[in-house]
Amino acid sequence: MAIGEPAVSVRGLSKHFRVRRGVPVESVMGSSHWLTQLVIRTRSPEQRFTALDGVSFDIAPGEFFGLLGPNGAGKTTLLKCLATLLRPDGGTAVVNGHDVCASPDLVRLSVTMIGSGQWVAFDWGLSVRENLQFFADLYGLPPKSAHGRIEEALEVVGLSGLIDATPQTLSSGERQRLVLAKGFLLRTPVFFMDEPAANLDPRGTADILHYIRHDLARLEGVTVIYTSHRLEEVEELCDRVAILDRGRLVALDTPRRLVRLVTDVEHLEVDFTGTAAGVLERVAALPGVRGLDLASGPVAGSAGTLRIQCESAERSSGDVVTALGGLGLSVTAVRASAPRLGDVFLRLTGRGLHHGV
Amino acid sequence: MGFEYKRHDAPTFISAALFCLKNAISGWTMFVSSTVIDLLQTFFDATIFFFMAVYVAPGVAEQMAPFGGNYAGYVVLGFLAAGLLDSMMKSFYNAVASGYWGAQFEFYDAFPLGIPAYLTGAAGFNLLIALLRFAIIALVGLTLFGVRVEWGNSPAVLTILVVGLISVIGLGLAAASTFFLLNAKRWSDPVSWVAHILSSLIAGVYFPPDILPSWLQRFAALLPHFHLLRALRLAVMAGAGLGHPVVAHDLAVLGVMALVFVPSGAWLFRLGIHRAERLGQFTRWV
Amino acid sequence: MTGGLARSSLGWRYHWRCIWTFARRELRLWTYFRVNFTLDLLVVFTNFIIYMIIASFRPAAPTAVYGAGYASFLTVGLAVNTLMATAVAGPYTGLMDCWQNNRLETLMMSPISLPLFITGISVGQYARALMRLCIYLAGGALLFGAFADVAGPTLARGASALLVLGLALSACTGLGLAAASMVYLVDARGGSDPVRLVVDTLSGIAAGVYFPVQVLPGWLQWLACLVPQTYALDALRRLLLSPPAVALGAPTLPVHALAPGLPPALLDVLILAAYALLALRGGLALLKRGLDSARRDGRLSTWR
Repeated sequence: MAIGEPAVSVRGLSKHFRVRRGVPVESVMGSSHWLTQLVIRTRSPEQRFTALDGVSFDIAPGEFFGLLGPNGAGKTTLLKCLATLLRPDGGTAVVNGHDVCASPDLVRLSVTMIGSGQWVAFDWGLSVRENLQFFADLYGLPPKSAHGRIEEALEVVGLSGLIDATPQTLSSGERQRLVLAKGFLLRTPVFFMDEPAANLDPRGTADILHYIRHDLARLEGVTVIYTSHRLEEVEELCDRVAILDRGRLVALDTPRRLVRLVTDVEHLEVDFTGTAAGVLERVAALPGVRGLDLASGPVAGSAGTLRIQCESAERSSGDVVTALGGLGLSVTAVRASAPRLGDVFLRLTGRGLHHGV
Repeated sequence: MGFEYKRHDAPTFISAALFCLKNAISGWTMFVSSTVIDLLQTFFDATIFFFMAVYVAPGVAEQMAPFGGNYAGYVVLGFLAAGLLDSMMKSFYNAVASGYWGAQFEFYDAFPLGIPAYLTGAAGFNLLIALLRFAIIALVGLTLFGVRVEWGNSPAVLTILVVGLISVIGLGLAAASTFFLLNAKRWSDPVSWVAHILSSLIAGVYFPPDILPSWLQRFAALLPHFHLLRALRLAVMAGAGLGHPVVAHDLAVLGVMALVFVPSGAWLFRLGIHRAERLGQFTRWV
Repeated sequence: MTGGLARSSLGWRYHWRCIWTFARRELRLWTYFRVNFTLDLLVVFTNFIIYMIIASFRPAAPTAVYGAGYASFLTVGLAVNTLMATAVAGPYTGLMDCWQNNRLETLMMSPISLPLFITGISVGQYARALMRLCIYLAGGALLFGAFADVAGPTLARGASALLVLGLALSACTGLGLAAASMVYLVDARGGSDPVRLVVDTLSGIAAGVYFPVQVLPGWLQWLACLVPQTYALDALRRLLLSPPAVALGAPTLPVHALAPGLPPALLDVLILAAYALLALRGGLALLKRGLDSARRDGRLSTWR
């Protein structure tokens, strides 16, 4: 890669999948069975699902780049295309100076992929050390340095005391740490991290994110593409953030500049308890409310925190409390809030990152 | 507000078992090429034994006199019938292994009838497939292999097969119990192996037990395979009915074996489940 | 700033280390369950005993052309076929294991090349095959008198036998790569594939593993000439079992009649060499196409 060249350069990247979604079918064999599919094919054409639609961006060497978007936005698809695990259908992508389609082998030499479900790839019958040794050998780490790297990686993720345990005896959080340790064995120029802190406790998350941001990115100059559902992580860690929605890039800038897009409205956070139907629709219909998102709570309408964009926080707070009380919900706290990246997504797409209207 | 509890009655058991059976069939037919190959594989394996038997037949001409001198037919029928019994025996173990490696066993244990229903469905599927393979070869191949089949005797043949299959259910449950009791988790178990080697060597799968020493013949009579094979050959190749003294005797012995093996196997299997519950071994991930 | 792996660092040492890494892992996993490991050995041994008992029924007489008795004939057939069957089955089995355990994506992210990857995921199968080979040869010789009626091979014939075995394994590996490609090309992810169906069926029934090819009807003997196992077994038996005068002598396969001027064993070797060249290239191309198709459709793992 030449000096001045971006570490990652993406131009018009597209990816489509052939699916048959939304076709209700009753079949004794199951809807995904080929016999059922044969019947479905006679009733409806194959649909093309667009996972990525003409995405373009550049990432400078050493940049900590965030990808934000709801489930199904295309974050993982994008990472897999850049990691050469998925072949794009259109556009180009160059990673560390090599085209992902023309020279995938060369791309693989210079990237590390850390995902949240990769623990299944570990061998349950080998110890933590043996599993990491396996990958160290595959990565071409010289044997003399592999031993030290393994210990160093386990120290970083807090698994030093479990070096001789087998993955089948580890908890889900410990297995995710093992995935991270595997990723930290080699200092490639580019790291793709797909929700690396999933299943980790808050303390573990803080330590590992500090290591990624401070040691890997700042000190060693590694380029990181990072995806997460936790807004606070992305806001704090990333130099720039790209927001994806339904395969399209809707915004790309620093977190600070992105939130300026929503400084023309005020933001309210309302904590409530109880369960009722139609909460979002009722609050969205209030005068002065521009948009809202259910920031926490498992399903729309259950206890959680509403995040509301409105013309005046002071005027809307009373209306919201009254509306929620009318639905039988109990409001426990109301506060004004600074704009956040989730608000930017809401403004740009008209939908909340979680459950919004 | 009233609570709802999981049910453990007969209709729930039947519906759950049928669901597991349907699931197993759906999974088996999911990949067309594999389904076709699976059905044809037994036919090709039988062909190997057929030609091998043709090659060595001059050496056993005397022992094959009661069977019309047809050693190839003798071997093929033995191979198929023993394969059917082995499939039945292994079906429970395979169901347990699939549930374990597919991370579903823990889920089934959360329901009162989960594991019995799953085993019934999965083992029922294995039995169906084994019968399907046997039927395909019986219809197509036996004639090709020179076995003169007395089709009029089909009821007797079916009765012998069904009683024989039931007699090995207990052994199958015992085989499945070794998954947890002996940690035999990699798709093979000692019970099936012992049954396979003993039946192959002394129960008459590949050669008449008459050529063995008398003490070995007495030992062979302890195996369900011995009785099934003898009765089946008489029914298929000689047209003997259920009233034939040897066939009746063999059916009675198989029935007694079923009465003894099934409860014993079930007890061992329950022991295995309790051990797995105690040690947290229903899944490879904690 | 640190860089990634340099291409120059991935020399032969790296390749050998990777193969050893895979082998070590396979050995560890294979012996993890002691009961199953023991059963694996016992099952091979007992199945071998069954074949040899059936074989013992045949009146003692030299097997046509090759000269040695049926016990020697069958022992060579089982021993060599276990290696060839592994070469055919290894890539598919290894690839399916990676796919089912969601390991494929992680392995494909490493810098190993496709041939090295296939070798690595098949190496465990070869370890088991070598174990079976030892059981067959030792069992045949010690328990059933195999090779007792055979003059010891000379250095030249031994070296020739190794060459034939190498060519046979190369040809079978090519077929194995084609079989592995079926995982993605025709969605053969249920544990079996059409390539191995054809190859295993023909080789099992007609290639002369268990009985001489002459036992079969003529049309089946011609079909046998489609698989490399037929030529490998014929050539190896001539080299290992037959007295020198017989080794290059009478034809046994229908295809030998097409070139009456050539010694049958030499014709076997030439056909094997051509087969190996074509099968390896074709198999690798098919596998690359299969993996590319998987990358295009997002099917490298069970979860997209």
